[in-house]
Amino acid sequence: MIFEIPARYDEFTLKVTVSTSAPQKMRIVVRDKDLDNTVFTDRYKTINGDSSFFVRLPVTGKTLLLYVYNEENGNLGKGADPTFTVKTVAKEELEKKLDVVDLSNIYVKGFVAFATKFCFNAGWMKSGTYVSDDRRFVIEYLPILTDENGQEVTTPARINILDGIIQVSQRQFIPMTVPNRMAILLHEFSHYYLNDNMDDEIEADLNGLLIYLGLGYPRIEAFEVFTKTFMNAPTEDNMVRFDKIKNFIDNFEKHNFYLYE
Amino acid sequence: MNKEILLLVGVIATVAIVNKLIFAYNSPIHVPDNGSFLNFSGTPDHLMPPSLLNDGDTIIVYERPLNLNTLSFQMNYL
Repeated sequence: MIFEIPARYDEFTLKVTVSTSAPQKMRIVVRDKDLDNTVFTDRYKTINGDSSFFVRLPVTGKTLLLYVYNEENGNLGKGADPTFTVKTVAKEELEKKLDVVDLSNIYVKGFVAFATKFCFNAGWMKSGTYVSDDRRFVIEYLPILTDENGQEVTTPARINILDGIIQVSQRQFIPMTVPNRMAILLHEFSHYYLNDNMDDEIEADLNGLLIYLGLGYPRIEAFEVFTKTFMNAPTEDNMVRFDKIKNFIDNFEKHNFYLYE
Repeated sequence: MNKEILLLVGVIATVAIVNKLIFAYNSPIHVPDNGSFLNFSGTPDHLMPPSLLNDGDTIIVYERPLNLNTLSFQMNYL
């Protein structure tokens, strides 16, 4: 089932209420109608009875496509799948916590604007070097990221500690959602521009997440990108990172910020 | 006469320096060696495993369970 939703580049939360008469694994996908590989969320939930999906959309294009379907049966036309009904699709206000994002910091403000644009368009842009409007930030959008021997590495992005230039793997960014990409770029930005200890991964995770969550991006998309990345690099350090990230996100909504030690 | 020549030399030198600065600013980005990078997936980075997605592979990620099923807990978050 596909719904067309006018978004007009606005920010909002999409509330989709689905009803089933038995447990069904329901998937929803929200994507841009006009741009290739521009997905805002792609998630599932097993629903028995009435339940709602809330999709936070701090950035959108002109028109969205919302796909709702039972994974077992695939995406059928309206009324063709008797296992579920979509009761309502509604726009609600996007809750943000901008008080935790220091937008008076010209670096934060400039990078958020640049990264938002980059992440929104990364699904169809050509590889190349992209420079922010204020010329402070550079992203090299490379087909793949390689080590010194030319072999592909698992990281989707990395930042140069000497000049702050960020390199991004096009192969890994294309299938990601827009929020996935944003979480990664804010992490890289934090290493160089916000961290007290530039090398510290956990400090960069939390500094980046604070901006990401404050801007109203979906929590589950942050979890998804960290989990998938860590699965490709299963180190002890990354296991610790995951626990701290989970703790931080859990506490964010309660304004009970996790203190970095 | 000497004053004019000196002035001319001064102007040429200034233009050359400014050009040099602008050129340096717009020159192709220098790509340093990989040792200077911090990776999103942690450092040092892992090579992309070539057989990771082959059918029948068993991949143990962590000692405690942390596999794709972990993603299902995400639905607790907006």
